[in-house]
Amino acid sequence: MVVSVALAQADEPLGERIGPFIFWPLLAFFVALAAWALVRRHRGGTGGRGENGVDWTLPESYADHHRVAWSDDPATFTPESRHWPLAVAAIFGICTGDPWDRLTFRDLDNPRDGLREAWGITSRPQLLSRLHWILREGHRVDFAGEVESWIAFGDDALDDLLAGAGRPPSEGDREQLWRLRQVRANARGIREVRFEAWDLVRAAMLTRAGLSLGWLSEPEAIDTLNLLSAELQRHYTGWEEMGEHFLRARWYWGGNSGLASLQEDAHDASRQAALLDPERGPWAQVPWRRPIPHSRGLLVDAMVAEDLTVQTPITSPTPLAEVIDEVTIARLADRS
Amino acid sequence: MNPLRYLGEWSPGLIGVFALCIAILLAHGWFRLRERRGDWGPSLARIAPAAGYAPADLRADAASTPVRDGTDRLLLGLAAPFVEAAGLLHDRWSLVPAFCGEDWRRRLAAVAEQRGVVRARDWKASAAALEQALHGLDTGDLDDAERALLRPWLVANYAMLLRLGVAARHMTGRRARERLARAALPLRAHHADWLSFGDAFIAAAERIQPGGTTDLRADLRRLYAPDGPWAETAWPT
Repeated sequence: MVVSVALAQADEPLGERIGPFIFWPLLAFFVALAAWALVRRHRGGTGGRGENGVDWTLPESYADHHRVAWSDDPATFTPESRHWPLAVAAIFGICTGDPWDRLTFRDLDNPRDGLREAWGITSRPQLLSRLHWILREGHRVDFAGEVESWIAFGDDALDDLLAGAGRPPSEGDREQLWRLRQVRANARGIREVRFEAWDLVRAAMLTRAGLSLGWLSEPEAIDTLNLLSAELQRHYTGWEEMGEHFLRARWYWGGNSGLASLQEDAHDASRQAALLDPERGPWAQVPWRRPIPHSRGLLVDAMVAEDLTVQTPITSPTPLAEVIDEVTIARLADRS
Repeated sequence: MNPLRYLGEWSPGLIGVFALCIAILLAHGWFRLRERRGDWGPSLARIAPAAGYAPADLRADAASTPVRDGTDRLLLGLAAPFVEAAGLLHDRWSLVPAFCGEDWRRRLAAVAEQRGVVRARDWKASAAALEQALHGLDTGDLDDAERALLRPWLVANYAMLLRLGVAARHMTGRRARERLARAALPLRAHHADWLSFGDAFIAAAERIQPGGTTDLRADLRRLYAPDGPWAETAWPT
């Protein structure tokens, strides 16, 4: 029946048969779809507001996220030597909601997922090797080196470099160009940043997560925390200064502008305030100047025992690398 | 007003447009099928820049599929140290899941960038250089021990390069298999199993970068783990 009607109307133009009622709604739909996609792309999603309408570019939006959890009562807290490195690790720890003053995490999903996703670590040997890298050189060698060399170029040479940069061909080049711009402008005082905090705070987080997951023994973890704590104490004069340098180094590493950068800034400001909070903040409760026990190099022992270190690296790019390499030479000599 | 009335009757032009649309749809379907089979990757063209945190290892959510064919298991295993270090997939020639997101593509691009093989001509030049180095092993003045030491390193690099080529759509998975199978053939003469291959691989890496193989050594342990690509110690048959 439908076919015979269609055949009977075959002498009418195709457009007439399709009818005006299909075309205009379809056109309106596609125009609306294109407009929506364009607006979404230009605004970068939800304009900083989450699904529940929270503005994540404001530090106060993170107040619940950064509520410092304690296993002891902060009113009767007496700092011990183990609390100093735990206060370092608290920079990452307080985001998980786990008590900052315990060496191990209660909820193991966070450290397990975090180590896997952010570091590709799924085993003890991988944890040891990444810890070894971050303690010896991390990002600080490259970052400090590039800032120093760009400053040495002089501002005029940097301006010429930026003017001729053009469109970066890759993600790595884009990030490097972004960093070059920040160094030229000395944004956030990046020329004066000491990058040790960025590496060593992450090392503390890795150590605590590794112990929680059973990939480090407690003596290995405490000894490694002592090693990095002494180095942090040598480089900075207080918690607030260490935190500031950590934040600026993290910003430099992240290479973000726009909305992502605003959200990170708000998150970091909220966290810094929580850590320094006079009543519940670990940095307000643990004195900066406090003796740190001497490290025995148990991380190096583990590396040698696991056959991960069989030869001493040719160069020691940082003071901490010198300490680690010295222990390595001694341990390898003992072994042979 | 009805604008479609101006289309008029079925004309050769209109039929041509429909035929072109159908051809484009078929080609698109064919490309998707190839990507699903792992014969092609997502390409490295027009990758959206990252915004914010980018994970280093994306494999937690990627389903692992066992490789049944022994030859395929052998050939896929040859690049395993580099695949593990890059946080990519051991069981896919294209190194990433089919129809993967931008985060996987960015990861691929970072690895290709590290090796300087993002552009097709750089990739071809690098593959030719490795083929020449492998050929030089057989024809040069090296003794057997030296050949046995260097071949795993070169073959592993060649395997990784070919798989990056598949991912970037510089070549198909089938072609990569053929070329890698030829390069891998002499391995069995010098190495009895993955353990021997791994030892020679590390020894060569140590020679290139003395004292700088810690990460590689740690990653190799993962390869020998029960769920790793080298869990079955003997060469796959």
